[in-house]
Amino acid sequence: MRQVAVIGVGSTVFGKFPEKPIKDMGRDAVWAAIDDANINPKEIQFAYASTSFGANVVGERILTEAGVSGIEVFNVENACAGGATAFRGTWYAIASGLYDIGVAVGVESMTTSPIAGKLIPPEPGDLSGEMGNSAPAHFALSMRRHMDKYGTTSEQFAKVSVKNHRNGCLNPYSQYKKELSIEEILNSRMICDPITLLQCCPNTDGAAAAILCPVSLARKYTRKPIIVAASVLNMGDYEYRWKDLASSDMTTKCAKEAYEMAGCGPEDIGVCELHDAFAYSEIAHCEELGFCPYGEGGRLIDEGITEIEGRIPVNPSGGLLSRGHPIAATGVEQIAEIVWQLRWEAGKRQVAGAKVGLAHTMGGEVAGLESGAVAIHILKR
Amino acid sequence: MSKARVPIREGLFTEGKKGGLLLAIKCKSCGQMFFPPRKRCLDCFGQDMEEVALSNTGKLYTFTIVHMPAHKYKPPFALGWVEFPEGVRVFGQIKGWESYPLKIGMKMKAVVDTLWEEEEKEVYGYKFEPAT
Repeated sequence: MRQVAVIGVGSTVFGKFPEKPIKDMGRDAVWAAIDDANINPKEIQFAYASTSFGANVVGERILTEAGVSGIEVFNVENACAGGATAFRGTWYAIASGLYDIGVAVGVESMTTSPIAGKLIPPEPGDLSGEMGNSAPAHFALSMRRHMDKYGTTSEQFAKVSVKNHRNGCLNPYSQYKKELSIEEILNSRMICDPITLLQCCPNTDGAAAAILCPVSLARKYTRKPIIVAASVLNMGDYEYRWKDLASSDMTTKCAKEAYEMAGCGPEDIGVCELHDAFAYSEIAHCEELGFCPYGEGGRLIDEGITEIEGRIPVNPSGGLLSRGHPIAATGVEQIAEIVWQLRWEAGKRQVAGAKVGLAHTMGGEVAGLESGAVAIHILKR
Repeated sequence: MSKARVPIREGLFTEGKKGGLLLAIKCKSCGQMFFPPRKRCLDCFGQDMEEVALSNTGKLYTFTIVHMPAHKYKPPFALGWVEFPEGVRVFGQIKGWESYPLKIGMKMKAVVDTLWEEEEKEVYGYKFEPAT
């Protein structure tokens, strides 16, 4: 396998833009990545595109707008891990030697999707969905378990949302630029007890793109190539094997494989973007990614360790909670954020001296599984 | 005319003397239990499976009170996982949570109850209830 680098990234501002078609948002992200990589669009040999609720042949619709035609396009869907799946596909096609230059793009218009403002309805035949299960309920059940098993408090979870909303204020791409207090978060409308509204990620529209090539060619385009040190994508395991709902076994397993592939450990990660679909998620995922022992995620947030100035900054972009969560765009947006951080171009939210970054995303409710898919990428400058 | 009563799934539960009994499936080769039932063992891929009625009571593993509509349900309603002595963890709705504050570890029993009603039918299934 060849070593692969990210040579350009781009993103739209995230938010609620029902008037913006996905093809336009996708194009804007691809153009931004093309400009960032300083590359002629004609050099792009293939593309991976992902959307969960957008149109079919979404990649072709986007690339047509960006002046690219006649190339091979893969359209992939993998729920919240869709963007990460597109990025991994692009990485793999280059690492394997099939192609030299490709673009990954993720796009979503949640405000115009059939589920705008609603829950994702259960698939026909999904027994737990027909019993009333949903993503917020799933994570509320885990959060309650975490509180009972480890004594993690409501205030500690609320602090994650405080931190990520504060970070979002520093990110020009963020949907929300508003600081929140612990009281505002805990007193917001109850969704699935103990999860309140301001501990949930919002509905978001947006797109993000990344351009990759072999490390051997990267210097032709950029002075700051960012190397893809690990790419792992897994489906979840069965619920009956799930050790304890307090923690995500699939994230733990994926992280172990990613660290092995990158030849590093959690102590080497200088910046992390992880899937904080709910404030609870960040505390649990910090443990599963090895940033602290199990049950000590609450301490990490209490001690400021995951703040931008902390030892292991988590979600400096604002995360899903503040930057927003356009389902299939999120995985690529996380990569863009890590690339900016590792190039030391992240402006007011820059993590000082970041050299290694990790992006984690997961999702997709599947009856009988912990969750559908999880992806981890580790990038190095 | 009364509505037709339709189970949410066939072969998922039955009504015993003490209330609802959940019907799990046990692999005869390796002993692994499954709820909801599977036709083949997901551990050893054995196809010789036998039905096993779980105990009527188990322990509350975790729960949530849902304050938004989901599927056919109006809020608030309660969901949870219950651990049965046979080593099987089962997801379902909880009734009676308004009268008995839920607590992880409390004793729960399985009951058969209406899940939702449509114009021409009433769908019923299993639920859990504090066994106080």
